[in-house]
Amino acid sequence: MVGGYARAKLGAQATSIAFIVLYLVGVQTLVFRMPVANALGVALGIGAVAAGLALFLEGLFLGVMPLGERCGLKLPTRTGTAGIVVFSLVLGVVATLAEPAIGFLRGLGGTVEPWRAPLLYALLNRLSPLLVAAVAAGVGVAVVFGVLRFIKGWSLKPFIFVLTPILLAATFFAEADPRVASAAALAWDSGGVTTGPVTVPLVIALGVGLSRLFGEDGEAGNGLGVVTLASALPVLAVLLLSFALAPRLPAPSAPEAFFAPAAREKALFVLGSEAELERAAARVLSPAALAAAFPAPDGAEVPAADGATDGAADGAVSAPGATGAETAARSKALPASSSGTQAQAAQAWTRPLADALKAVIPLVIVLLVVLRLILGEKIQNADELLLGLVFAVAGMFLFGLGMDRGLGALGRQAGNALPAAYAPVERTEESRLLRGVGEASLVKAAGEEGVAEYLLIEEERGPALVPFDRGRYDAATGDYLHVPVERPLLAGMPDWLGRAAVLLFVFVLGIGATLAEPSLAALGATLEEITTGTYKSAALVRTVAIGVGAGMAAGFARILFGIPLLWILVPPYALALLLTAFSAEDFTAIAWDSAGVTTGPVTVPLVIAAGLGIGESAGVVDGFGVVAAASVFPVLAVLASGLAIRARGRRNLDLGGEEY
Amino acid sequence: MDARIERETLSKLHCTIPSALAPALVEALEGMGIPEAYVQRGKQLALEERRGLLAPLFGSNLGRTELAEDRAEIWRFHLPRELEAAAAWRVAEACDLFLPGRGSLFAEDVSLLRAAPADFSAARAALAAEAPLAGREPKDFTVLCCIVQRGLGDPLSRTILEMGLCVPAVSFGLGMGLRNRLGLLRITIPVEKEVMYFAVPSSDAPLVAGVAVRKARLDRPGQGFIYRYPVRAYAVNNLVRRGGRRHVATMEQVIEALDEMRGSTEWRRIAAAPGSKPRQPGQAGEPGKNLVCFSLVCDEGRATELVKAAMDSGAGGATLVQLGHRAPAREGQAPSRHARETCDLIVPEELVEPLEEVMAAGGLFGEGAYGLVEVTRVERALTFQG
Repeated sequence: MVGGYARAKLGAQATSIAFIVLYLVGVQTLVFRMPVANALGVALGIGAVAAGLALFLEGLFLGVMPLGERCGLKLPTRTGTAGIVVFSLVLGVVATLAEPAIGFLRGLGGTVEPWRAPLLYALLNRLSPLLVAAVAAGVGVAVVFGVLRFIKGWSLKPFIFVLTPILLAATFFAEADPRVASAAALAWDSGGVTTGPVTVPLVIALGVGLSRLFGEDGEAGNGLGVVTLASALPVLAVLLLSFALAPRLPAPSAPEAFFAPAAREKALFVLGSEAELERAAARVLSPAALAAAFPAPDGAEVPAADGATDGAADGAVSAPGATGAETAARSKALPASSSGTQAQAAQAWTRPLADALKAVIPLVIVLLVVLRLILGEKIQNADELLLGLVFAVAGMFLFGLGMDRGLGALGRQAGNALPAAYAPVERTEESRLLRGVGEASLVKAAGEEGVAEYLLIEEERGPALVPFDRGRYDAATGDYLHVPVERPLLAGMPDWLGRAAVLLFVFVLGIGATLAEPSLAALGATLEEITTGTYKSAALVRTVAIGVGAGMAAGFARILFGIPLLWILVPPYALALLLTAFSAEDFTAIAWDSAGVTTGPVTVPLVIAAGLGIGESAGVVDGFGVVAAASVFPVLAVLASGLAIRARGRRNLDLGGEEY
Repeated sequence: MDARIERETLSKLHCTIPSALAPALVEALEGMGIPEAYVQRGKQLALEERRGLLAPLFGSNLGRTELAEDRAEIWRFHLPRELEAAAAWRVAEACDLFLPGRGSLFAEDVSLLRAAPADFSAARAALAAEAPLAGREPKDFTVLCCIVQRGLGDPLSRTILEMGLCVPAVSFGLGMGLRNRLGLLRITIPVEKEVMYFAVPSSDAPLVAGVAVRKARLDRPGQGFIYRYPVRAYAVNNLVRRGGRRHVATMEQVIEALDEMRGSTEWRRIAAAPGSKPRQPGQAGEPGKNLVCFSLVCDEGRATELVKAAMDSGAGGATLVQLGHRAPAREGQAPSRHARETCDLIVPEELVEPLEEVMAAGGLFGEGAYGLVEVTRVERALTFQG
């Protein structure tokens, strides 16, 4: 009995990740002809992801979601509107604080250079409590409005029509202001971070409970929509905070200008204290510049400069540029990987466990306290609920481990190989030191752009001519470091073709990753339940996956072809608003909630894996466009499918299903 | 049992409509002064002929027939027997249920037990002068309620539709039988069920039951359960197949007209139902098995314990279905909306009284439980008995 049950659950999740795994392995081995590094570890990691997803989802359905639904059902009948508002606010705030990614956002503070992104630095370091408070307030208010919407029967559409243009406008104003620009991506990431894999199913279940109570035939629809608000309002909150802080901040500048005495007051606001300021300056400024920035009083010593920007050096993320998707990916996905030390190795195990406990337990405690102590409700099926919580924690732990070592590692390997499709790639791991190289070894060839130098080297298959790079040649010793260069996969083809191939890769990657998203699976299962199976979970996941794929392709097209962000975001958002105007209330909520759940713990790390490879080669690492586009295209896809379904339903009603 | 608990014999109307028609129905119910109604989420199924992309080039042979699912709601409300026909025609007209593909409307007699009787004075006033629709009489129908594991209902629905027997209405429910006695191991048994309703002319009931048993393997352990009860059908959704229209009337409309001309559906029997004899309309049903459907309706979250108590008193399994409760706005009050749940237990008639005692002792009729018990006649029930 148990075997059959476990097989069924594990099989379902293995199927959901099979596509992305086969796709990544296939692309890497068959297209790029590169073996999978650490194949055993990756395979074990993938197994852990499948087991983790199976346990986690079962835990959600057994433990977390029934609790949320019960609160939604019982709270309004036992407490007044004020009680519901307080509960929603507390739930939103606790959900934010419990989200492991919030802690990670703060942890990124050490990797940011204060002079390059003063606001980002301040928000992630000294002012991080303000950042967390803003995000928590955003989520709290979102849950309050989300819940009030059901009680009062408000439509979701006005919220969307008001919030979307405000958010886009605020983002573009932020991007235009160099002081605030670095925080724009952080703001959008905050929205993604708060809609984590525990929070989303919980608020969906809460909404479903409320809609059962207040009816689905009103404007408030079918219990969905809270995720939409919980994604949007934290973005607004962080943007507003950023604008409020901007006047007290310096513009991004060179370290010398940042630490200059004339700009001291604003620099002090960023770093907090004179001592912190001097310490930061000492790491980056030359002794002369340091002396100029901090003229020593008579007899005093100037702090020693080590000239190293260690903040950027040891950070896993390359910082102020570590915006958008990158931050989200790191935050959602999991602990920093490889480390040589035992402590770090231990942390690689304990961190996912701590994250899992932190994400599940506080929220459940809030719900239990409300149900048991405030509402006086008997907890039904307590054994099942407890087992569900154990499953949820264990599943999240395994999933965290597996994502880092399995699916994430596979994504990183494929992502690194991606630029080889359209640009030559240096194989540094295969470099060789050649000795006795002299001018006589060189072969010169005349061309339209001058004379090119080649070196005749010994290869396995005999002598071969390779381009000669004087930068790697030591004339004194005759040593030459030869780094083999892989020709582009599509060498000889137009450049755009290689880039288009990359877009095709990310399109399919987006589809594959979305198929495995746990939050989307929870949303799909809920939707199937509340529509009595007329809108199948698989159909929603498929529709959203195509949207995410298209959004990722659009986002990466922006990077690869240098398309302005405005062109990528404004038309789809405008179209989404237009379709929303014509859509039924239930599909509006489904579509916009889908946007909130797409930036989940499977998709984002894989987006980043691809993004880092492509971004580095293109000289851009700005995931903002990708995340925002990957969010809006699913909205379009779901709204379009909703309109098609409604049109068919109307035809059936009007014509009795007959076509003339 | 508490003397305050009232027993009434009423008509119970079941109205299955597409979700889009719910506002029209609510308006009609409010207009008739119906004091309260229960609504159950569901869907109506039909076969839909889809034209393939290449059909314009190569003819319609490239099309395919799919199982189409439309969101629906099953509304139920009680009325005094004498108001049944007037209310039924009013609802059928409000929702245009005489059009093919719209929905169905049935009524049955129910013995109702609850703490405080509903007030039908407004309904009496609204429906007193209602004239019956000329030429339209309710028909002798049978509803077969079949409960199977979630996901296993589609093949059965498809077969029923392909045989042209009826348009199934399907709802989701949760099983509460043996599973609840297994301790924590119960999580390994799927709790999700599909509750399927097949409304067919009574003469077709044995045939449909036979098909259901064979197709859903109800003769095997743990596969499901089927029972049937007689109803008066005021409107029947008989559009089993949708697609290109080739004639001025649908085949279903032609069949319905022939039914009326021949006075029964017997003329279109296509197979001998196992163990059944042809019957004339109005003839009494098959020999009773002394079974009743004991339905309890209560506030959300209370049914599990009540059903457990009922099972301890001898009842078999049950299926829990979520309901919404709607009561129209009264003076100075907003419309009332609550979440309820219902469980149907098929039990021998002699078990009704003990079960009513168990329900009363369990607090079904107490404050805050909003409970009621409905007892209706069941013609036959079938499941694997071991």
